[in-house]
Amino acid sequence: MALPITVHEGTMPHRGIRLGRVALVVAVVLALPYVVAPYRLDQVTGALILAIAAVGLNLLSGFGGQISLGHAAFFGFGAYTTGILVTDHGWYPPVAFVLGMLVCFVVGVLVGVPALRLRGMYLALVTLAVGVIFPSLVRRFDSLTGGSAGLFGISFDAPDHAYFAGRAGQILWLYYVAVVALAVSCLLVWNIMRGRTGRAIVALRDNEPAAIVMGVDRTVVRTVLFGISAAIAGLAGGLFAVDTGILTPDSFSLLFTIYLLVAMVLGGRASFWGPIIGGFVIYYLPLWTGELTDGPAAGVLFGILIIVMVFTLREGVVGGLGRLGARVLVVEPRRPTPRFDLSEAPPVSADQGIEPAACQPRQETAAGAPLAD
Amino acid sequence: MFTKRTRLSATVLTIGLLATACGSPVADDNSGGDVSSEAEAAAKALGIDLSQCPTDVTQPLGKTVKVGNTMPLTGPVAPALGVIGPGLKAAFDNFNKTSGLDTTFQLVSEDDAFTPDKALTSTQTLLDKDDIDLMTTVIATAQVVAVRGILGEECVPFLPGVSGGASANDPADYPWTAVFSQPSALDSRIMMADITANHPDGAKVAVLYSNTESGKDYLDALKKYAGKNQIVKTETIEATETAAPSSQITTLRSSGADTLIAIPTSAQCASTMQEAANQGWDVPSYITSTCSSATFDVAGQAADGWHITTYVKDPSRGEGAKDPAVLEAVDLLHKSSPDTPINNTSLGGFLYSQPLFEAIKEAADSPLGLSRLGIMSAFSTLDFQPALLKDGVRFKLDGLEDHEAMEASYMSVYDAKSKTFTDSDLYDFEGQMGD
Amino acid sequence: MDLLVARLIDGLNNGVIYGFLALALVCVYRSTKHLNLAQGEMAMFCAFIAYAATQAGVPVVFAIVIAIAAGVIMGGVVERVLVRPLGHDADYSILLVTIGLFLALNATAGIIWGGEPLAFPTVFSSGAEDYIGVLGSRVRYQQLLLAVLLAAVLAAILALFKYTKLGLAMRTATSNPESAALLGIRVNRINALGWMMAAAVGGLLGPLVAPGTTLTTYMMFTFLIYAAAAATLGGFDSPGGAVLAGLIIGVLESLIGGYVSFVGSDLKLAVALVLLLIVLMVRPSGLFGSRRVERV
Repeated sequence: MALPITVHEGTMPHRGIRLGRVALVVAVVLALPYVVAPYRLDQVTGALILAIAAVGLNLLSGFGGQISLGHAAFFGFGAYTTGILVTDHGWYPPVAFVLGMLVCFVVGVLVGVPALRLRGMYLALVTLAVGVIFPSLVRRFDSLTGGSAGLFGISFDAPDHAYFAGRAGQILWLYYVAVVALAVSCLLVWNIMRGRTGRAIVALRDNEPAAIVMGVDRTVVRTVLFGISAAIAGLAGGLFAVDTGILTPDSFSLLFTIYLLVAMVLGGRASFWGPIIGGFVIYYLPLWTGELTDGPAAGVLFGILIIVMVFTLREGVVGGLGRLGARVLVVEPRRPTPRFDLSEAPPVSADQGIEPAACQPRQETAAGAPLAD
Repeated sequence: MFTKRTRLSATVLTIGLLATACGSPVADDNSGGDVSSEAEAAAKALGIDLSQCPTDVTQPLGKTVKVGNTMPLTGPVAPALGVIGPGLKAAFDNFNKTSGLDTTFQLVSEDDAFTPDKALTSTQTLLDKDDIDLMTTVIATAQVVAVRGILGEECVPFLPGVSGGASANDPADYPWTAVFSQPSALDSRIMMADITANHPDGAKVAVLYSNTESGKDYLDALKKYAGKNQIVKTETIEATETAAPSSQITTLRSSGADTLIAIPTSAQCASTMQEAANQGWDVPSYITSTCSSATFDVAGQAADGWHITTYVKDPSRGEGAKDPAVLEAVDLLHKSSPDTPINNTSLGGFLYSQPLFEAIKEAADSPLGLSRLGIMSAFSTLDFQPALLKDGVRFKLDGLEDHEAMEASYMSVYDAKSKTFTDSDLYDFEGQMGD
Repeated sequence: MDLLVARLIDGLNNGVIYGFLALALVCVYRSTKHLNLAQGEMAMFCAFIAYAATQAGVPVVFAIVIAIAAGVIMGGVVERVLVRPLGHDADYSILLVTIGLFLALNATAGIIWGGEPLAFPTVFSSGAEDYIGVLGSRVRYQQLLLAVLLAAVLAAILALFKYTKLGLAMRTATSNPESAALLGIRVNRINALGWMMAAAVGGLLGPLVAPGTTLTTYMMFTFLIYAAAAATLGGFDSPGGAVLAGLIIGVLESLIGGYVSFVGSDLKLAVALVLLLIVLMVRPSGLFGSRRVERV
């Protein structure tokens, strides 16, 4: 059979492929606890949590084109809100997660308002400021946060069931919780991005003045986007709190933001699977370089690997995989217009004259708007 | 991207698979066993409930015992603290060769990046993947506190955690963990005692302390043991700060204090001493014992006359450099890892493992034998003079009665010209440091 | 009064360092419009190279010249090998590259020179009596030298931009690379020059700061954050603005940290950054940055 195989969007084979892909992911997720040792599963949970935070950052920076060097702070706000509510007030963790997300949403909007006027480097520095200030605040308000000694004993105990018995069962439980949280975050992002709001976000990113002229409410879209992105990072933070059980201000340093940024870009910016894959890459990369080499050499290797990956995977891991996949399978897109306006899918048209590129979101001009002096 | 229908089917699939997944991947293995009366008594003395342990901790250990350890191999402090690793490894190799036991102790190290959450994850890995029977030499209070809970649940002796912090030393709640390092309370108490000796009517003390748990521990202890001395002004320095603490020293200097106590993190020791000298603030000055002797050399003339409590034989100068125990450790380290610098940090691997090895030997001769409980019990009643500690600084524990291993130290003064320290008489608070 | 003077001097001393590093950030920004997160680590690495030279018996002044030369080479290589091939639109990729460089340089220095702080000699002698007294406070010769050099470097950079053909070419290349290329300006070379200048400024700064902070792999961590804040406050494309903003931040944090007890030493960085935020509300391109005009 000649490669690549071409399928048309919306046809049965295409749906079959999509369904197969989802089934594959579900199967992997469910099979994993049976194949790997508990400590490996615990690592996967850690990677999932990073992935959730990267999904949040990707919404803002990848799709929205607004850089943030302060997501460690939102992650931290979520973590501490959950931690304090669970330990001091005995809240049920999922409820604390939701409140943590709300807190982060509010803080995100508050940061998003000044961010409206700023772009590029200036925005980066304001978010950097938020990220740098956060650990100082945690130390200062130590009666609430435990300060540099840390906040201890945050746990989300598994239901009393034989399936979740013992320490291994607890690991399994948190794994499922993280999987569900990641799924929720992805669905949230996907629901935003496929609709009107998503098009407004991309339009603002690619050409802000034009988007405003076209009637996009910049203030609302940008601030809410900031808030939702922060809320997702806050959810990840809440999970981090119950997963590790310990919160100290040093866990939310600039280094963490940098890891998230690397995760997002390496995975593939403005793609749905990118930050998830990136989360796993950035979680496992230091582990592997640590096993390969001793001590400080691991740091050198880690730094070099980041640079190498930037050069070899220009569109991230997902971009690289996509190109590889395109050699095997090509999906011909449908005509774009009816899909957005009609709830019912139109009959598949025989018209193949449309450009495939018309459906692709513009990614190449992210963050860099045209300018003139 | 999903469509509505695929999402629905995925959900159905998920629920279906969850419902059918009746066989749990987790096996709960809770084995007890008959326990001897000696074991029962030893456990009672330590405050351990043997029935809570997932394994039988009175069973003799196998031919190969895996000893877990986490260590900062990555991150900003890795270059400075990572050198403990080669020292620890050389110490274990030497112990296996010379102990005369037919049990081999195998060290398994993981990275903790000097953060508590990484330390916990790594400890989890050590427990599950390597089935460690013992844990040793996790550095700094935050990491010790982070991992002791899970080690206690698994009844793995954690001997010792390297921490001088008060919160890490809690054998009543964490009977499987013991700590070893000069307690910050002891350091503070000796500083205050030394100040009192020079100012019988009380001194006006300014304190610069690191905005960390350890720094606050120090401040609390300094207040507790101040006596007639009065702490007139305090200033903090962030652990991540890289600039010299100029504005803090300016503030403290302007307070009219006649004595300075500085508790910076080990990276800021030299610049703190230099800054005080640069501002021409020449009062009797004390610095935390976590500062290495090398930092005094770096500060040079600025460090002249600074006081520091010392309890470890210093391989870099004076008597320590000629000491047979130090020379032996230096030789072993040099043979096993030629590139590792010789200093108190790298020799720390030998120092911190000494009580563990002592406890292993004692346990092997005890009725409890070489079991987890035997080693834990032997450790908690150790009373010996570690070869790498200065004479008179004993390691003495007595179960829950006395859980401060080190209660004595020397006050030393640095002389910049000769690059040496002159020791005072021994300050010995044996039996007085417990709460 | 004496205390106020002491605080001003503390602030100015730190401000000079912030301004110096901010100047390096501005040089990079003016050439390729990027934030080089590894700028501080490059300066740190140069300081270690100077240290190695002094250990080999080279006098301090020449060791610093070697550090500057090392900086020029490092800047040129980084631009040519790591930045240029990624192209103009690769903002995120280049940010990541500088992160990778940051981590790799830091770990490499740790491997070569170890983790213990090292002593680095001052240019002028710094004994107990070597200072200029100002109302009970002491200004060390090294601190004065740093300030004088900052002024000299700033003047040289401003003169370069304003009075030389090269400077004109650099300005053109930054503001409109396409037109510059059409005019026959070799934009790539100009960009490389910007990175080299920045790294040279860092190469000068590193060995001069090292005696005060002691020479460590993490000596530039906090300075980079302050410098980035200074560059932003001053306007990312304004060398004079960056230096002035560096001084302003240094003095303000010293005064506020010293006199406002709620702030203290632990929140002074936070206060500096909040001030930055407030200024950016009013002037989104910093105090002296050029406004952007957008075309639809």
